[in-house]
Parts: sequence; C-alpha cells; structure tokens
Amino acid sequence: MEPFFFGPARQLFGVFHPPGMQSSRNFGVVLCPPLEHEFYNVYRCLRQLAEGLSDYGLAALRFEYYGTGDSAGAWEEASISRWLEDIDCAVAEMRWRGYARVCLAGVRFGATLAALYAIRRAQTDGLVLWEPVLNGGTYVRELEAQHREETAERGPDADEGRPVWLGFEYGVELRQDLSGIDLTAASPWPACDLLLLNSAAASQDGLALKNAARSLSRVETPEVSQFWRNLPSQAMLPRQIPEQISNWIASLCR
Amino acid sequence: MPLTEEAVVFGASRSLAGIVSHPAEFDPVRPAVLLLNSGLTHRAGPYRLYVKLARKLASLGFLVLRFDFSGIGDSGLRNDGVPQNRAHPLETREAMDYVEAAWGTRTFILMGVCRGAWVSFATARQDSRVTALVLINPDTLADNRQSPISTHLKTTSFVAAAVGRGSTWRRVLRGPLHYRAQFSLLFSYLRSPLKHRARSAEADRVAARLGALISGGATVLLIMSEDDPSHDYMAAVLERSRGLAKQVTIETIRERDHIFMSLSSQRSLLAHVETWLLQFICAGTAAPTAGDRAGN
Repeated sequence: MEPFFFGPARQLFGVFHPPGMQSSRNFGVVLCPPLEHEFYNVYRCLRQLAEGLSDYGLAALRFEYYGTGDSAGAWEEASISRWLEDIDCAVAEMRWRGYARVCLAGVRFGATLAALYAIRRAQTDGLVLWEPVLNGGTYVRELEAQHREETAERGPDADEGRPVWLGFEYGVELRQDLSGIDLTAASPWPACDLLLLNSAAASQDGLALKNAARSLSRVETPEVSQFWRNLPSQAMLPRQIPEQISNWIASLCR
Repeated sequence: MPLTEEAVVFGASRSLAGIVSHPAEFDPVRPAVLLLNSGLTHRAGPYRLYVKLARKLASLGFLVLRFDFSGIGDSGLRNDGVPQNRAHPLETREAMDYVEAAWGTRTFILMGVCRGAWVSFATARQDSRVTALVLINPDTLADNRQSPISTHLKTTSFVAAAVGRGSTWRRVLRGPLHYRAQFSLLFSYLRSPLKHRARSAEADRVAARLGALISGGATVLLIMSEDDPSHDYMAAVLERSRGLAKQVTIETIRERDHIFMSLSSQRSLLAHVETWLLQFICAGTAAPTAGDRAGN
C-alpha cells in the first residue's frame, strides 16, 4: 500500500495497492468513493475492497476528489466537472504505472461520477457501479431530509437557512450540477461491460439503469447490502464483493 | 503562509499512515501538533474537521500530523494482541518519535475530539514531550473508559431543559420517539446517586492526574459543546481540586454538537484553538505575523 499525492500540483490524495500476486492481466481498478457523509462511513471498507482486489492479482487505486478527504482544496470550491477531471487524473496515474486497461469502480455518488466519466470520455475498459445515485435532484432532497432527521433533537444552529447538510455546504452551483444529473436519460453509454451492484431496496433503480444502458455489451446485477448507510463502527464490506468484482474483471480479460 | 502536505507511513512496523501539514519554513523549536482519531472516523476527522484544523494550524506556522490508529483508516491492524487503550497511546508516542526524528521537533501538543481527548490525556501522562493538550468534548478521562461518571448520553442540563420543553412532550405523545433508548437514559439518571462513591473516587483520581500534568508544566485547553456530556464529567473532575479549574482554559461552543456537524460550530472551534495557540503557545516561540493571520 502506497499513500501519495498526485495530479496537477499534487493536489489529489490517493493510495495505490499493487497486485498481491504475479498477474499477467495488466488491469488496474480505480475506486471512486462516494461523497462526504457516505465517504466517511465507507473509508475502511474501500481499503478492504482495494486489498481484496490486490489479493486477486489486480492493481487498485483509491483516491479522493478535490475538496474532499485529504485532497487539497475546500469542499465549497468543488464541482462535478472538477471531480470528473480528478477521475481522469486517477485513470492517467494508473496508466502511467503501466496498467494499459483501466476499470472504474464507484460506490453511490462515486458510481454516478464513474458512469458520467465513461459516458463523456468513453475511456474505460469496464464499469462497476455500486448502487449509483441515478437522479441528482432526488439525492439532494434525500440529503436534506436525512440532515433534518439527524439534527431534529439539537435545535437550530447558526447554519440554519443555509444549504448545509450533514456537515457540508451545497452551494447554488453544486446543487444545480447535482439536480441536472439523470443517469437513466444519459447517452450514449460507452461500449464497455458493466457490473451493477444493487441492494434489494434499489432493485427498481437497477432495472431503470439496465434499460437506459442497453448499449452496454453485458450487464450483471448481483444483490448487495447498503453498507454505506452505517457509521464507520458498523460499516462492513460484504465478504463476497472483492471476489465477485475480481472474477468479473477476470472475465473481461478473456 | 503557503503550506505543504505529505503522506507518510511510520511506526515500528511502518503500518501507521498519516498526513503531515507544514509551512514552507518551519521552526522546530515550536511544538508540533498531533490530531488524534475521534473514534473510528479516519484522520480527516468528523466532517473533515481535522483537515481544516491541520491546514489552519500549519498556516499559523505549526507542523501538524493527523494519522490513523491501528485498525482505523489506512493504518494496518496490530497482531500483537495489545488492547486499544494501551495501543493508541503507544502509537501516539510512535508518531512523536517519527516527527522528532524526521523534523527535529522535541515538544508536542496533543489534540483530539472525544476518544482523541482520552488518548491525548493518557499519552501525556506517559511522555514528557507533551507540553500542551487540547481536550475537545472528552466523554471520559478514566483509565479504562468505562467511567462511572460518564454513563449518560446527554448532559444533566440538557435533560432538565428537555423535560421543560413542549416539543419533548409532543414527541412523547405523537412520536417519533425511541422509547427503549429514552427509558434506558432515564434509568441511568435514577441510578446515578447509587454510584456516588465510585464517581467521587474516579473524579479524585482524574483531578490528581490533571493537576500533576499542569504542575509539570503542561498547558491545557478544554473545549466543550453546549450541553455535551463532557460538561458533567469535567465539572465533576474540576470541582475535586481547589484552583484546578483556574489552571485550565475552558471554552464553550454554543451549539449542541458533539462532533461538530455544523459549519458554525467548526468555525467557533477553530477560532478558540487559534486564539489559545497564539496566546499560550506562540508566546515562547516566533509568533506568526499579522499578515499570516490575515491570509487565512
């Protein structure tokens, strides 16, 4: 495991996990994390996922978008377009390390960004989307509702009236960017394979995405738990996931 | 003041991971700041608070290391069976060893929210390189963290105020109310007088230890959110020793927010820490210029 900063002016924090065993696959996986409140819940799980992929002979790069985690910048400066550039940097970093084929694997909004990147740039050799946020407007409303629920007992604070939800301010531009996202209406999807991991609760979303992404050459949809909803003390990566993803990527190499 | 951040791994088995934030020109005479995990949230801190703190303090001229204890964030698991309550102070001392070897700093300020405050206090008792503590919402400072004082999830003043609020009774009648949790809380309050002797003994012990640290030259800043359980706890400790409260700088943040979800509580926290550092810590070293502060 190698923690490091990369990208323009070394602004992005990442952790590179080399393949844990000899592998001729020459395949790297870039892990796209969810946004802030879910990112904190799943941080350790994403490390476990990267280690699991490494154990199966795949290189993995975890990284954090500009304005999030240990990467440079403030959350308020971030934007969807900047985060897509960050994914581009992470893909470039993986290729620079000698991995000619790169698969993007994203969790929640990270999956949404991975899909948007693939749709706009078509520079990915495979997509793993773990319960992607399909509709940005719905996501924003859910964030606001979750914030209200968690702070109901605390009473108003000095942030009252501002769009500060679960510790982060969603400014006008970011909300507009988010509200404009609808993965079911996005096109054209790139001609790459897709592994869609969804919980039972999001099965309708899974169907909607499968219909939208018909141009994809193959779509698989095993069922998983919503582990990102749990706090870091309770969030557990489903044990079968690294193997499931690795086997799927291995099938791409055939 | 431009700052640099570096990803580092350190410790006896090089399995502890962290980020060093430092100004371009760093004076090793000035103490370095270590930010200690608030629980299982990784080194970025709850709601990215530790990243903000690290960058703010680095802009004031301090070297700051935020890192993960074993089994948290990017740090590896220990395989020696040492329990967390011993392992985390040990790992904090390994972090000090690393900073001392790599940067030449020989004195340290330990800072942490909740669990991080506990580790700060425990480590300071073991290592004389710690010259200052910033204890933020400490739920307990007892040895084993199973404190007879801090069994409540809410502070007494919070419960008293809640009983008097109409909204509380509306929730009782109409919901939503987590009855099991609320009855458990009420029961713990009713049981409190029975534990008086144990509480007194623990408060005496912690007060004596805090007093010893201060007598040894340590400076202490205690920051508590309004109605946080730490108010009850620290009141019980500070009242045990005459004059102890006057030797600790105490600041209250006027929001009910144990891990600082609101941006306003984060701003208040940063302001209190900055003021205290400039007043008590920078006095003996090269203080940042007004221009440095204005640049933030």
